[in-house]
Amino acid sequence: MAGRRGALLLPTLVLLASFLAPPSAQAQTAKPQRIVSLNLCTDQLLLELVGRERIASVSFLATDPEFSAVVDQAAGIPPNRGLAEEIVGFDPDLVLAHRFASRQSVEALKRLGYAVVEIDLPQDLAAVRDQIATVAAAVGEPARGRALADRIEARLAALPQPAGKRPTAAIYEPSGYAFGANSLADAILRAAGFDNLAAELGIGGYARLGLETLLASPPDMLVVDDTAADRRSMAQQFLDHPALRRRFPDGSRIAVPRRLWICGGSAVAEAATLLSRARLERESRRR
Amino acid sequence: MRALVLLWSLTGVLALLSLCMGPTGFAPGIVAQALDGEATGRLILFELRLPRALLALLVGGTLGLAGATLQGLFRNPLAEPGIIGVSGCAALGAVIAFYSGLSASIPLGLPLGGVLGALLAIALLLALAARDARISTLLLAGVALSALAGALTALALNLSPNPYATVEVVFWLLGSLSDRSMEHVLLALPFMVVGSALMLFCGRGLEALTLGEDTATSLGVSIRRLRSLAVIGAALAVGAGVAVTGAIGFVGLIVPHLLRPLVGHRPAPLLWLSIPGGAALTLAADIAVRLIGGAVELRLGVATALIGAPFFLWLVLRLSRRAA
Amino acid sequence: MSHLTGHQVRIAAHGRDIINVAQASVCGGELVGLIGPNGAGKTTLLRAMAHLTPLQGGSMALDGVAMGSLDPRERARRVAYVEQSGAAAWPVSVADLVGLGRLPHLKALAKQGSGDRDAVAAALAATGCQHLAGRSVDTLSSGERSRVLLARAVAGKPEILLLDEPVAALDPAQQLAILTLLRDLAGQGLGILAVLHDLPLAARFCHRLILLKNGQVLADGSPQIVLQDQMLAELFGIEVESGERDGQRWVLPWRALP
Repeated sequence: MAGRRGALLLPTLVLLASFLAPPSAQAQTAKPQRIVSLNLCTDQLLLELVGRERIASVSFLATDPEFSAVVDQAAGIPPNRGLAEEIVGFDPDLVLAHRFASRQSVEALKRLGYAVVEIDLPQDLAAVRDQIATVAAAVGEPARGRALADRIEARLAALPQPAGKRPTAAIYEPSGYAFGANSLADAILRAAGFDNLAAELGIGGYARLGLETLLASPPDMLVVDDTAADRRSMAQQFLDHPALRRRFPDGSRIAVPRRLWICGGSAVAEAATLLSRARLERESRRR
Repeated sequence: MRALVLLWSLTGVLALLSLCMGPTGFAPGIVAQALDGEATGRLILFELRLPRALLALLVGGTLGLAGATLQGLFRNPLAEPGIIGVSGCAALGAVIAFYSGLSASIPLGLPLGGVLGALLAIALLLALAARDARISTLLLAGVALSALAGALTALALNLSPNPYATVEVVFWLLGSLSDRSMEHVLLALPFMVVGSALMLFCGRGLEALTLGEDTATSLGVSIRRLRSLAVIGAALAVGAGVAVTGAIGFVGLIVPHLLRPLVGHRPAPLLWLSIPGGAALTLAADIAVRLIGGAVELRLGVATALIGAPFFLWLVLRLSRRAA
Repeated sequence: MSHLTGHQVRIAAHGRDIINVAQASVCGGELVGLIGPNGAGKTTLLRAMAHLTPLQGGSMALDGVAMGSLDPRERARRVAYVEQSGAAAWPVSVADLVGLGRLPHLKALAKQGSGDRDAVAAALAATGCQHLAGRSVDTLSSGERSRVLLARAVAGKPEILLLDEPVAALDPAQQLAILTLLRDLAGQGLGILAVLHDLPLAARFCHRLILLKNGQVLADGSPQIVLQDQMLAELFGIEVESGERDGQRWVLPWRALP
């Protein structure tokens, strides 16, 4: 009789202990079930890797059609603005955040003992795979993560590369900002068969490219996001400059929504596919 | 008048120099290319550099003229659109028109917003000057009005749902001529032309005003008409200018002051001279901004403030010493 | 001869009548002095005659035509007004300041012609200011400034001249010079109405005096008739000494009455 009670004692103690142990200890033993994402890029990866029932909250941008590539999937999931008090209210067993965003909230959550996984904005395609792997491991779906990365890489590899000279393109953002070398956008351009003019002009990362400089050494195609509904700002009106419209009429312009190139994930393949298609159309027009 | 010819010639030279300025400094090559008929050169010269030079000329000229007009009207050498809050209120009007979307639905809505803001400011200041015409009161009211307009502008931008709006307060409060287009020039041009014409018609009235309102009235000048001409003219010109370039200060202060001795301190000739004076000063400042700037472009309003604010202080000290 | 006449002139403020005058006038060829104690309303009445103050009652007419219905520039050409403190906002030259008097004669945006320049020169000469022509107005003494302001009014060749205290704060020699000048100008056909504070000067130089007290005209006539002891006692509360020299009567305030 004592042996049987003793046999029950250990599991009971373990069960009791699991209630008293901090949440992080719990996450190590099972897949996270109440995941909170603070950042749009982690929102998107999360929605591609796990089912909605395991997601407690995504960032408020996830349902903004201008920024989010997963608007439909995110509908109905409680949004958050990245404030620690808010997050605690969801009682998460995993928090996904961007390394450089919501710093104070993330530090607070760490101090309170929550499991936080931080990712960087990927700067090339290898980083995209690493990032997917990191998030997949955190949510307990390494296999699905590998599959996702494979799918993205397969789609990119399937894009045709130009036989002869590679055409140039530049991504032009509000206020004249461009993506130069060492950026994910740069990698996407090259995967689509373009050379990045901004990189050739010496731009690194995300920096301003003057209008006159761009016009003096123009790319073959200009990638611009014309899709924003509310364009009431000096920054966005900049892209309507008559000189830009004259130099890059419809045939030399590619409209790609910027939400496709700001995060790593399936959106990367979407963007590259759009760019590649535009490149091929241009080639066929010139023949 | 010889000074007039000289100043317009200087303005012409500076305008040509401005056309030769590229993003990294002196770059006349583009002009040569354009004259050769080369497409890129023509595009850059006519769609980028020319609007910039034209705006510097137009905005600078109208600011100089407005400064001379307002100084004549208020009989106060320290009055100018920036200091007395007219430019700030014009910026507020333009911001409200633009970020609310009104300017997209109403043709010429953007410069109209600036004009209405400027009108409100001048009307307020005139009402105040009627009750208390002291220089100090006018300037203090101007400071208050400027501060209020600046705060409301920042608020309006913060309230805008657009993610870029908040940062753009820098453009509106400090002014810039970069990346403007011929569309901007054409948007502001009719207002500036009409406004300038109205202000130039004030010449006689401002001369008569030299001896005070009673003497001016006895000389056949309608003070009400003079005020309306000056106020509406200045509001039209300054309002439209601010709407396309943001608030550029101190030009209307420095130019009339420097030129006044050349015309025997007479208000009417000063009006005509302040146009090329303001144009030349603004062109020179815009050229300097591009020469000095380098990678980060210095805002034009910063440049004019760096020259203008110490000048203003010196002027205030000199006037107070003279009064003492 | 032109004449500027006010009938039943009434000006009120804060519920009180400031001016209530049955008739006040000035005609070409006469120098009229408007005298009275402080607060009598002299400046107010003068400004009313210059059409600078609106009337609550009565009318002001130039040669029978209401001042208000005249074209402002014509009014400005025919009636000139010189206010008491002639501070100039800008340190312009004397010639330019006097030139302002020609504004009513200039067409829109027009510059001065030779006729205008001659008028300015004549005005400077008449007031003895030729040597001041190139000077800046802020370098003038008060006496010089008074003369220059007068020259400005004269340059416009008006028919009627309205002056507010033209000789206040001037030294005796300058006062005598200005009043002699005014008398000469009147002799040339100008009608001059001047607010004067100095009783002896007014008595000596004016053809006619208007005595104003509490906004009402006490007397209106030549100094001989009007400057009676009784009148002066009522107007100023003073007793005067008087006499004659060179055929002119002089008056000197002697003591204040209790």
